[in-house]
Amino acid sequence: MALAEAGAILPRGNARVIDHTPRRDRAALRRLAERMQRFTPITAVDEPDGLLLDIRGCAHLFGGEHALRRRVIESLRTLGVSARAAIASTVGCAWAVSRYGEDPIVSEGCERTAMEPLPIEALQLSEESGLGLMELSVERIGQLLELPRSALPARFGADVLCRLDEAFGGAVEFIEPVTIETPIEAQCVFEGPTTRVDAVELATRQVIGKLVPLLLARECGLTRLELVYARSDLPPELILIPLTRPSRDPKHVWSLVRPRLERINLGFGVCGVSASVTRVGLLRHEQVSMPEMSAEDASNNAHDEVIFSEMLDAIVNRCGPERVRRFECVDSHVPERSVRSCSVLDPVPTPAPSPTTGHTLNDRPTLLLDRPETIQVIALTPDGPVSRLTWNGEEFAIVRCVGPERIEREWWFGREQTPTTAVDPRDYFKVQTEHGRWLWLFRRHTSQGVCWFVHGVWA
Amino acid sequence: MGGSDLPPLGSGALHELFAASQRDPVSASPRGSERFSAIGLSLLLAAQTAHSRSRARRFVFVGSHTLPYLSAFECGPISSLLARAVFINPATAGDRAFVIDAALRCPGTGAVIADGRGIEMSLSRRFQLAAGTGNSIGVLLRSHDELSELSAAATRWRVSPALSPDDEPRWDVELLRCKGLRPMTDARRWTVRLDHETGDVRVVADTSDRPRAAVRSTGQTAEQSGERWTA
Repeated sequence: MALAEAGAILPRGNARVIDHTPRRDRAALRRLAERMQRFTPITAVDEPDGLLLDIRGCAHLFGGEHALRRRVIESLRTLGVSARAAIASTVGCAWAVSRYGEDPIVSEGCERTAMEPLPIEALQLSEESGLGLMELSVERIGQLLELPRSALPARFGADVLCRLDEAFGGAVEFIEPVTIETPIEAQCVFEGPTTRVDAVELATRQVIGKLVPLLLARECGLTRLELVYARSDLPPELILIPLTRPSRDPKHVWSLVRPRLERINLGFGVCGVSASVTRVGLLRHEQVSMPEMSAEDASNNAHDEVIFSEMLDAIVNRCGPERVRRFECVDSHVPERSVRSCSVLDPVPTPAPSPTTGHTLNDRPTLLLDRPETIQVIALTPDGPVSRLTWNGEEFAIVRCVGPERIEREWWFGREQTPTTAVDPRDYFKVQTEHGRWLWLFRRHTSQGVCWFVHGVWA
Repeated sequence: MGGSDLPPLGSGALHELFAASQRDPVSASPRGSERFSAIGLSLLLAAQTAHSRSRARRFVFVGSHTLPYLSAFECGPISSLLARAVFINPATAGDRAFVIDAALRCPGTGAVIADGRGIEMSLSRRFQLAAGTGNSIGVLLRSHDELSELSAAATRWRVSPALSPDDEPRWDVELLRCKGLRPMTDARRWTVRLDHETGDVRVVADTSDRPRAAVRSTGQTAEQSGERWTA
């Protein structure tokens, strides 16, 4: 449907346009496939819009194939997904019948009669084979089956025969089942509640130690760890440990847990410790515990990075993740929008090749105030250079004034004014006070007249 | 001392920069001294030392007022250095000391540029030792009313804005104290400007950085004098 048509149909006129993101579709389909594992242990994603369920030996658990099919469709409908389903003894046949067929259940041996009236598209042929068949006005699978089998590969390509065989069970088609990742967890339950700190510490270390082989088997490191201390007669205590870089070094993880463990309230006693890894990152296989460093190792950049991130973990753990930030430049010439703060827990981006303007420093102040501060300005002529300014009750004579430089809102936001993009046009001046300090001022025309602000300092 | 180069900040040591002076009311006001540290200059000085070493190590900024305006450093090696830098804003003075110490001690750190207000002698000794362990550069940004405080830092600098003859900012940089050097009766002083192409801090040389108008006028006088000679 064209956008204009959709807009015309909608009563209030405005159609909302949402970009198609194949990645999110794929993720959603995968989640559906995982949900379908309540019907059968083997489910697979059939891109772009299908699910394959291998129901061999499962149908009788749900009262037969008809009942199973109904329940699958029903369960998808409760999730807001309308679906067509078909059951057949081959993947190709089920695919074709579910999309083009009338009778959804094809009993074994009847594939041929079920497929014959279906259009050629039901075979999932490649584009050129499809075109070749179209030229001969072969539109139905039945017509294709009347052609001599030996001539098919030479005339239309090898995949026609291959698809036919797969649909009729002559060739085997494989599906790649989705696997639900079992959560990485470990726990230790005490025989009775204990208030002994050393016992709790020992149990915690053991639990962390149990996680290491699980992480190693998946070639990943933990980036977030949750430790839950079950306490008797009190709600459980949770310790959340974020890491800036995946790690599976029990010594490092323990060094992060220990200062937090010292501060928890054991109450009337702890009954058990459970650890679960809630986020992981890829970490290639390596030696888990570093031996004493030799001199060559010390000059190893990668090793420096590991040590640096371990140091950061300790800081994040003590100060809180919101107090440790990174900043990055954003494409915007409005000063307060040109820098964005991001969490240090996100991976460090690979630095983009910087534009070669031949300049390392821009003509911008080295320090930007958090928010522009109001000043009073005296100029000799209305639009002339600034001659005096008053800021925080201090008055300065201005000896130099460079400008104005007009900065307006970003043109790529279009004409629409939203509160987040609106910026009044500003005229920036670079001025030097009598003491030699360079300041970055701007003037803004508002309904009350002209307002002046200080926005930055060359510090 | 005008013509000589500015000595680089030594690595494996702690340095203190006193940003403001009485001569500059913008930074001398109580709120100003809190906020206007010599952040830009100290960053460039530390980067200058860090680039002279082969390994790419990361920068750490500690304190809320140590965030430079990144758009001023958009290209070149300093921008990639800042993209990987970490900014930490500790809630308490104890946390701040912990962060500075941990960062200096780490061999993956290139430089730590930190808010140094209220750092006592014992803490500065701890930082100096930590910087020696990690072979990193520690820069403490302090306010001028702490100038009389004792500290174990290797060098102490005072940075104050200087009047510039053109549209480029200049600073007067004074070396107040340097460990291993004879006590100075009067501080060594340089006037520096920023090199926009390389991002370096350059000492203003009398000959090359003379304002253009002055050069022309001396040229003219020479011509005039020449004419007079021939006449």
